[in-house]
Formats: sequence, C-alpha cells, structure tokens
Amino acid sequence: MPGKELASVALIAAAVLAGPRAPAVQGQEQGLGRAARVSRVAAVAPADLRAWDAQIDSMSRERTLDRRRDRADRMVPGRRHTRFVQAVNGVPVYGGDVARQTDARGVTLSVFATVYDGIGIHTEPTLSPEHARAIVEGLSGMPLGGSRLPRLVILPRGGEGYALTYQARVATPGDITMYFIDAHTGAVVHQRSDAHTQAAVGLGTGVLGDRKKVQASRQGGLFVQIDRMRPPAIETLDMRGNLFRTLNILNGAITPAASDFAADTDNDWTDGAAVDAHTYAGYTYDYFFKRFGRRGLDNADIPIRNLTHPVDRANAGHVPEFVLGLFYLNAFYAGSGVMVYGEGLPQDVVTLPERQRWNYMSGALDVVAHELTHGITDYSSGLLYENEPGALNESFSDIMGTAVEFFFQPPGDALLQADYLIAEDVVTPGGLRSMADPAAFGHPDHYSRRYTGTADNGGIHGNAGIPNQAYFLAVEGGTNRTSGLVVQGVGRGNREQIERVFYRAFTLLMPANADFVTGRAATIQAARDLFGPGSAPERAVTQAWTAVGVN
Amino acid sequence: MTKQIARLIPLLLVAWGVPLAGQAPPPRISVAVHGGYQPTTSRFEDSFTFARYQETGSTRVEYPMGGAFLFDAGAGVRLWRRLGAGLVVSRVGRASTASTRSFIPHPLYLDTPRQVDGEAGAVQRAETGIHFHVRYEPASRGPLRIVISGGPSVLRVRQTLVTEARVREEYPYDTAEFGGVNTQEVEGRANGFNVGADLGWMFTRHLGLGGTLRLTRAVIALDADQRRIPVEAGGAHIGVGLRLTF
Repeated sequence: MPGKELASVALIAAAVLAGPRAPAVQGQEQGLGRAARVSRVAAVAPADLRAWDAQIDSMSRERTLDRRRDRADRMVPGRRHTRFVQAVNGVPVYGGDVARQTDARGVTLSVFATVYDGIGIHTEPTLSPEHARAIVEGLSGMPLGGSRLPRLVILPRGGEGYALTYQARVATPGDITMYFIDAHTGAVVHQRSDAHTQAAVGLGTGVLGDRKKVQASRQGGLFVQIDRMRPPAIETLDMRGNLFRTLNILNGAITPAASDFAADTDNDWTDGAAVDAHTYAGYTYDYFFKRFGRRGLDNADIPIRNLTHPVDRANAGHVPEFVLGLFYLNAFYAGSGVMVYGEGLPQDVVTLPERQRWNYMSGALDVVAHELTHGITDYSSGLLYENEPGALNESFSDIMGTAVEFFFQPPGDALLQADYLIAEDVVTPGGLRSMADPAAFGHPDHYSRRYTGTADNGGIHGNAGIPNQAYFLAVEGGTNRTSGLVVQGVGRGNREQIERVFYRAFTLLMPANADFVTGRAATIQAARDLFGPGSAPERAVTQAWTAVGVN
Repeated sequence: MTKQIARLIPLLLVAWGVPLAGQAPPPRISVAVHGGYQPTTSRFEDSFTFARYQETGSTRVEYPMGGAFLFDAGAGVRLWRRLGAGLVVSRVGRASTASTRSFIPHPLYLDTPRQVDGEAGAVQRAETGIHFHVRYEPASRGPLRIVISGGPSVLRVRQTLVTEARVREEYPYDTAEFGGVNTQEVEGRANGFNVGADLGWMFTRHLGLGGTLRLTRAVIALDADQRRIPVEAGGAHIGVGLRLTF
C-alpha cells in the first residue's frame, strides 16, 4: 500500500524484507539438508484420503505412528475421530500427529496432519530422566515432585534438524515454563512460556475515534492483542518505534517476546493503530470466510501477525527517505502472514504536492484488507509482482480491500464509509487511488494509457487502475472515460456476484504470470462457472474489460 | 373458571341457607381431606439483562402456568350457632416448560446481537396456602351438608426461575444455539383471601364424602438477582375427599 512516489522505494524494500516467497506447495515447509522437514496435510479429497489411509496403515505397522485416541463424535452421529502421534522407537515427535475422521462405515472423511520426516537420530538418551529433572530444577529454582519426571521427546528444530530432548513443564511464581533439555548434553534446547491465555473480548477506540470490539487474551495481569476467537491466531505487536527490532522480527532473527505484543491493563484499548490493525485483520478474515468460505491467507488458517508502530512518528523528519517511504507512508505484506503498518506523519505535516495528511495506515479497513489480500495472492495464484501480473496482484488487493469495506461499512463518501477510493480514511484528503476514476490520480483507466516504464516494478500500482476500473464498471456500470464504452453493471445489490467472480479467477484460475488478457479470460470463465454462460455477471465482466481496452 | 366459581358461592348461600334456617345445629368439629385440581391457567414474565462481550444482553422468560393437582386438609369448629372458624392447608405442585428469548451480544462486532430462543423444561412451582376462614353452616338436610366460608389466606410460592440462558456458539458467531438454562429456586409469600363452599354427604354420623370449591388469591413478589417479579398465586381449588364430623 505505498503512497505515490515514495511508495516505489517502499515496495522494493518491502520485497527485500519479505524474504523468499511462500513455498509453491501449499501447506508444506521444507528446510535444506538435515533440517526438520514437516508436511502439513489437510486431505479431504477421495484420492488424497485413500493415499493417507495407506500411509497411516504403513506408518502404524512401522510403529512410527502410535494410535493414542479413538473417540465417537458427539456432534455428528456415527462419526469417529482417531488421533495418532508420530513416534520413533516409541519416542514421540513433538508436534507430529494425525487426526483422522471416519464415518459410520469406517470410511475416512478427512485427515489433518503434521508429519515430520527425515528424523535420523538415535533415540537412546545419555541422561536419565532423574538427571534431566535435576537440571530443570536447577534452571527454574523449583523442586519437581517424584511424579513429574521429564518426558523423552524428539523436538523438531526447523533448520537445525531434530534433537532428542527431555520435556518438562515447571510452574514458577511468574510463569509456566516448558523446558526442552538435550537428552545427551543437558543443555537447554528450547524453552517457552506455557501459560495459556484466556480469550477476553475488550473494547477499543480506532484511529478515527470509532469504537469497536477487540479480541484480546488475558495473559498474567495484562490483556494482549492475541485473538483466540477466530480460527487462526491473529496477533498484533507494538514495536514501540524500534525499527531495529522490527527488522529482526521480519527477518526471523528474533522471535517476538511477550513484551512485544500490544498490551493494555483494562482491556479498553486506546492505541488506535493497534486497535485497527488487530480488528480489521479480523474483519478481513471474516469477510473471506463468510463470502468465500476461505480460511485465512493460506486457506489453512495460517497465523496472522500485525506489526504496528515500527518506527517513531515523531522522528519522521529525521529519517532517510526510504525509511520514510516504507515505514511511515506505507503498509506492506511481509510474507508468511506478517503485515507491517506504517506510522503516518505528525498531524501538522503534509506531503506535497497533494497536501495530504497521513494517519496511521492501519486506520483504514481497505488498507488492512489490501495487505492481507496480498497474502492470499501469495498462497494462491502467486501473481508475480511486476509488470501486468504485478498490476493484477495490486488490483486484486484493491478490489478485495474495497469489497471488505462494502461488507462492513455503509456506502458513502465520509470517513468510515465504503467507496471506491483506496486509503481515503488515512490519507486525507482523497486517498491514494480511485477505482471509479483512476485518472483522477494520474493512473490509467484504459489499456491504451498503461505505463510501460520500469518504475514501480513496471507501474504495478498505477496500472492496477485498469483492472480496478473494469471491476468498478462490472459492479456499478457506467462509461469508461477513455473508450466511451458503456457497461451494464450488475448493480450494487448484486455486488457479491462480481466479488465472487474476481475471487474465483484470482485465487483459482489465474497463473502466476498472468497478463491483463489472461485476467479478462479468467474472470469471464469464473463468471460462466458461477453464473452460467450469458449470465448478467458474465456480460458485465466482458463489457467491463472491453471498455478498459483489454480484449 | 375462577370467576364462575365465585359467582356460584352466593347462589349456594341463598339456595341452602334461607330455607333450612332454624333446624338442628351442625356438628361441633369437622375435618376434611381433599385431593383435587387447580384449573387456573395463567402466565407471568421475567426479564433480565447481563453483561457479555462488553455489551448488555437480555433474556425474557415466559412462565406458563397450567392446571395442577391439589391436596388440602382442614378442620373447622362451630363456635356459635351455625358460625364457626376453620383452617385449611393446601398444597399445589406443578412442573411446566418456560420459554426464553435472549439477545446475546456478538463477540466480534458491536451492536449485532443474536436472537436465541429456547425452552426450559421442568420448571417447578409449588404453592402452599394456609386459609383461615369464618364458616357458616346452614342446617343440614338429611345427610347432605354445606359449609360456606371466607377469610384471609397466607400463600407461599416456591418457584424455579431461569437466571441464565446458556448458548453454544462457534466462529463466525453470527448465530448461536440455545444450550440450556441455569436456574435458581426462589420463595415468596403474601397475604390474600379465600372464599369457598363445601358440600358433604355423610354416610354415618361421623363419616362422609364431599367436595369443596375454593377461590383464593394473592400477589407475591419473588426476589431474584436484584429484581422483583410479581406473581399471581392461588386460583380456584376443586377437590373431593373425606369428611369427619364430631
């Protein structure tokens, strides 16, 4: 969501910060060499299920899966749920398990699993459990009872492979800590807080002074912005202007600490930037779930993490231009479900020549939805971020950002109302782009006017005006100013039809290197798929692309 | 039904009292035990609010009250000529199904309550009445006896009240399912009145069978969770049973 020229710099930096793109195979994360390799499985198709049934049988015979639980379904009569734990020589693999659902006839209906492979370690510990317990007691300062012997587990360690460890949970006056002690050396391999948080709905005031509910969690004596009401964890961090720490978190050099989470003492939140980043991320998840049945960015409920206050607003006048462009006048999707929302500018500062004020970027619902949609694109079509595919990528984010706005806000021109402007709630007056009239911002509204230079990755933000205009015309109808062609839109009351068409085309049909012509074909095909040949949505989409010069 | 019975009582007075005046005095002591029915049908409502997800939710409960079985026992003593005094203890118990309608705040959005309707079975209600009365017993005509009575009553109600309508909900929380209720037992008492008529057929000098009609009523305030619910108690009592006279 860059702003004007500064945004070009921002985008380049953002691409660098985001690191490598998400893996092409959805649901799999693979390391190199001796790294722990994990497959996350969500199998519901018959062919996949047959394969997984065979896999489970095979692993059970090899005793690398232990059946731990088999329970009748209390919600759906006749169903059963069996849970298997991955193990090597009887030693469980921490986090490796399989959940299989079967019907009354024993036919498998779903398999959800996290399975590790390449576990080539010996499972005979050097240390005894008693020795490990003594180590944990020394670390925590707390005696452990005779029944609390540490448990031997294989701990996947990402790029560092696997470790045979003793796992022990210790309660101390300040926390509940989970220790993983190397079963050979006694060193601490990993430790984390295991104090479970409790969902607590709070209230908050957004950037624009509006009140809304905040899905928080109670952690110790504080409320933190961890949403446990929705299927994925939605977490919002307050980086307190610490750019160095922000970069380290984005680069994976450090893991966010408990103190990084946006926190409040009374659950009545006043930090508008954090409130809006958190709640609008939730709204966006809700929109995709309710409209399309999509479960988050990767359709498998990958956690969503918002980073707010990456820099100090008061320092805006003293930072290099690229920092200003990236962390003040911008918001970006940094990959792997992480969003960063720019700090805006002090209220008495405007950018020239538009004389626009910049508020906290998370304060606009369409901005937040725009960035999250980049995540969806990343996990679906993977549209390349340059030239026409890049413009389609940006356009899809604008389209979905606007769709989310219309889903949650009443239509209108005022703040907190839905319209076809982008970021108009936080970049005032006017916002950054217009789908109804791209030319008002100097962006092309017709293919003949497209930008063909190299700036902004081939003009991806500006050229997004062309598909944006097509979307607008398909919904609202009207005349393209350049071609003069009239489009019969489906009408505001049928907005959902065009939203579904574009969603289907952009997440299911479109290849990564799609150009505008492919975009046209994919959306028309999506309209036919959903509403049939000759339907009003198909006619509207076809006319709209023709009107913007994409044939 | 209650009104019809009330209208009957003066008619009985006229029909029996006037022609039989001047005959032998009635027995000194009489005892009666009845089983019967309280045919009253009525309802009362309760509503309360609660805090949920940073908003205020509400629940309205309707308690229908159908007819119920009655047991009573009493005794009377003749004090002067055909006038006397008596005391009857009655007990009515019933279980009914209350209906609830709740508006549960949404956990994700402000001002988006979800309507949840449900029914709470086995809502118990017991009414115990102590009815003091002045009796007038016209002269008996053979084995047939009648007693007309009226006086103050003390009515006590023990009632199951719904204190919370539970819901089941899951993401996206736009709807919620009724998941049962939490209840509490409350008690209240109030003074009211009773009027009635008693018919008996004596097989022997001391033993007989009879029927009773009684109208009793009181308005009782039930206190629950800082709210007061006015409840009508009593109604028409119709019973048949044994008569003992001495």
